[in-house]
Amino acid sequence: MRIIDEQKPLSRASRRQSMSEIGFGRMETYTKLDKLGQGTYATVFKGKSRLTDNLVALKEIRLEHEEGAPCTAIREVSLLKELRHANIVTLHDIVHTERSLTLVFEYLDKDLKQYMDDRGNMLSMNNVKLADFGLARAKSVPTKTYSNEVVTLWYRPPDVLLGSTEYSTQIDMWGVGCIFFEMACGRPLFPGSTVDEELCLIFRVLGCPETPLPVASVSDTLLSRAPRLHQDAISLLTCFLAYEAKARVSASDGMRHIYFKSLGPEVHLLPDVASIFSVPGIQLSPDPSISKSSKNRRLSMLL
Amino acid sequence: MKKNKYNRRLAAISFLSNISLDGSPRSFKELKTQGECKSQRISSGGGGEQPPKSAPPVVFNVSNNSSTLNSSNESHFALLSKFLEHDVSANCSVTPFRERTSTVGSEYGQEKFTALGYRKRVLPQGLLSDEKALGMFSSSESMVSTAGSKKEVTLLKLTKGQKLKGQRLVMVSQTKKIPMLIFSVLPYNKFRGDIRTMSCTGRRRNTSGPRPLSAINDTLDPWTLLGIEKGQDGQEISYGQLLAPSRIIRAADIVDAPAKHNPVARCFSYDSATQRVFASSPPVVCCENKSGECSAYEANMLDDPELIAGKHKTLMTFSSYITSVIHYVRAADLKKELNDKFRDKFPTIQLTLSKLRSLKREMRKISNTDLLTVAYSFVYFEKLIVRNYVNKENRKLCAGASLILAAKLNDIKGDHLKHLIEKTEAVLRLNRRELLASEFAVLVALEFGLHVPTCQVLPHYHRLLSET
Repeated sequence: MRIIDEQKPLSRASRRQSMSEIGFGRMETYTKLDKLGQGTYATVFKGKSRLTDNLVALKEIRLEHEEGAPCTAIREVSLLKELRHANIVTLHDIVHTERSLTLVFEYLDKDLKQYMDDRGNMLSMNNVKLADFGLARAKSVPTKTYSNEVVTLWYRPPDVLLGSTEYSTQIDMWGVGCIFFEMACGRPLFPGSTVDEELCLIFRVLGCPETPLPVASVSDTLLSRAPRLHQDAISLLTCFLAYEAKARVSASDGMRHIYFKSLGPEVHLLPDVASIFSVPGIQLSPDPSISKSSKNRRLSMLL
Repeated sequence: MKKNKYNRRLAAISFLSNISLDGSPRSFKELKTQGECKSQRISSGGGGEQPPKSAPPVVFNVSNNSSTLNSSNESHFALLSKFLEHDVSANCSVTPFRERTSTVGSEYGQEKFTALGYRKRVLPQGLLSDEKALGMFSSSESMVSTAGSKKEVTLLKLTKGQKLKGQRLVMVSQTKKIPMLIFSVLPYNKFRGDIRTMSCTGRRRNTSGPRPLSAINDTLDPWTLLGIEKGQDGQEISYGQLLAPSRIIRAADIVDAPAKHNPVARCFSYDSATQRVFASSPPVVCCENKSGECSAYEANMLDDPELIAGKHKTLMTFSSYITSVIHYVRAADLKKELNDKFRDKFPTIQLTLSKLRSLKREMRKISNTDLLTVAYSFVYFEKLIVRNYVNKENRKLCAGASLILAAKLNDIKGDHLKHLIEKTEAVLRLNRRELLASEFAVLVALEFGLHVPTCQVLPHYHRLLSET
C-alpha cells in the first residue's frame, strides 16, 4: 500500500485544493442559460461551465422547507453517489449555499422520446443515459410493503396494477419490455389512461392472467404490431412480459439472451464506466431500416 | 435504634469538632499545615489515634528524601524501597487537593492549573518537578490506598463520594510538615495525549440532559458541533469530493494516508472564535478512523448485544453442558462496569454505552411502527459515532437527524413525516430549526452515503424485531 502511495503524485486533499483554485465547485463557474423545468422543490437550468465549456444541468433545490431537505434530493444524491456507469447520468458536483443546494449534472440534450424521433439524422455516438433518480429506491431489506401506486401507468406491471405491494426488481423488467417495444415501433405498447384500461390492453395481448394465451400466439400478436422486430427480439420481449413477476427474466439473464449475441462476447466484459461504443465494431447507423446496425442502436439503449 | 442515633450524633459532633478553622485537623496539632496551603486537608489517622505499628510503612524522612526524589535517575523500585525502609512510626498525610472555586470539578485542565500554582507555592525547591516523577508515583497508587485502608478510616469517610482518581494528593512529613510528595492518580488512558487537547476546551455542560428548549439554542450550529466546514453567509461549498462511490473513497483514503489529509484540521483553522467548540470535536484520531472504520462498520460493533452482563456471573462447565449463574448486581454497578468495558474498547468515543442505548431506545420510541427506518437510523447514528462526530453537545441532534434521514430514504412522507419530525422534537427535546439544520450536516458527515449495505441494516432490524 505504502509503495503505491508514494507513486501517486496527487493526494486527494491537494487535488481538491487545486480543483477549487481553478474554480471547480463554485457556482460562478457555471453560467445559467435556460430554465428547463420547475418542480415543487427544484428548478432545473441548462448551464455552461466556464472552465470546460461543457453543458451542464443545474438542479437547484431549495432547502428551507418545513420538513427540511426534500427527500427526493436526499435520495437522488445518495443513490447517484454510488452509481458510476456509462449509461447513468453523472452527478458532477453538489454546491451548497445558505439556502439552496445545486446538483450539477452532465447535460443530456434529449429525452428518450426526442432521441428516438431524431434517430433518422443521428450519427453521434451518444449513449442513452438514465436520469432523474428522485423517486428511485435501492433494493433493500425486503420487509417493507410498498405502495402499489408506482411506476408510470404505461409501464406498470399487471401484478402491481392488480394490487400487489410485494415487489422487487422484477417490477422494472416489465417496463423494460414495454420500452423495448416502444423503441422499436415508435409507439407505446400499453398506453392506458386508467388502471382498468391499462389492464384491458395487457389482457388483449397476453390473455387473462388465469388463462394466459400460449407463447406462440402472444408472439404473433407482438410481431404483427412491431414488424421491425424479428423472432429473437420477440422472444426476448415475451421474457419481459410475463404475468408472474418471478417468471420475468432478470436484467443480467436478459443480457445473455440470444438477441444480443450479434454484439459479440466483449460487451459482457465491458467495465461499468466504458461506453458500449468502445467495443470495436459497435456503432450507430443512420439507416432507419431493419438492419443489423439499427438493431445495435436499440441494443445500446437497453444496456 | 436509639443507640444508633446517639452514636451517629456523637460521630457527627466529633467530626465537626475536628474541623479546625486554619484547615488542619485539631487532633493533629503537631501536624499543622502550611499557612499558604488553602486546600482542604484531611490528615491520616483521624480520631487522634496514633498509627498502629502494623500499618503499611509509608514513611518520609525529610533530610534525605528531597535529594532522593530529585534524582530522576533512580529507578522506581529503588525509590520505592527507600520509602519503605524507613521508620514505621513516621506519619503520612494524604491530602486530597481540590480547588473549591473550580465548578468544573474534575476537569484535568483546571486541576493542572491549580496544581501548578500549588506546586510553585508549596514546593519552591521544585520537588518532583518533572513529569517523569508524576508518572512514577501515579503507578504507586496501591501504596497509598493500603495506607488509607488500614488506619485512615476518617479519611475514607470524609472523602466518601470523592474518588482519588484524577485528584492531586499531597503527603507531608510528620515533624516538619514539609510536603514530601505531590501526585495525581490519573485513569489509565491509551490516548493520554488527547487529554491535553481536551483540557483546553471549556465544556458546555449545560447543554446536556434536560434543558430548556429555547436556551442556548442560538449558539448551537450543528455544522460546528459536528466539526464540518460550512459555507458562511453567501459562501458556497462544494461536496463534489464526497461523490465518489463509497468503495472508491475507501481505496482513495488509504492511498492518501501519508498525505495526512485531515478534515478536522481544516475546521480548526476555519473560525478561531468558535474553536472552543471545534476542539471538543475529536482530535486527530478521528480522521485516522475515517478511512478504515467506516468501511469496517458492523452492526453489532458498538452496541454489542453480548455486552449485557458484567463479571457478576459464574460460568459452570459440566461435561455435557455449560450453565451460568448471574448474581444479583446493583443496576448502577452493572451500568458502570459495562460503560467501562465499552470505554476500554473505544477510548476515543465520547459517549457511554448506556447513553448510546438509551438514545437508541428513544429513537425506537419515536418511530415504533417502522422498524426498518429505525434500523437504518441506527446505522447512520452509529457510523457518526464511529467516525467521531458525536459528542455530548450534539448527540441528540445526531440521533434525531439520523432518524429523519432514514425516514426520508424509506418513503415516509407527507403527514407521516410531519408527525415523525414532531415526535422527534418532543421525545429528544430538540428544537425544529436545529434539528433540520443538523439533518443536512449529518448527511454531509455521512458523505451522502445513505444507501448502506443490507448486511449493516439487517442485524439492527432483527434485534428490533426480537425486542418487540
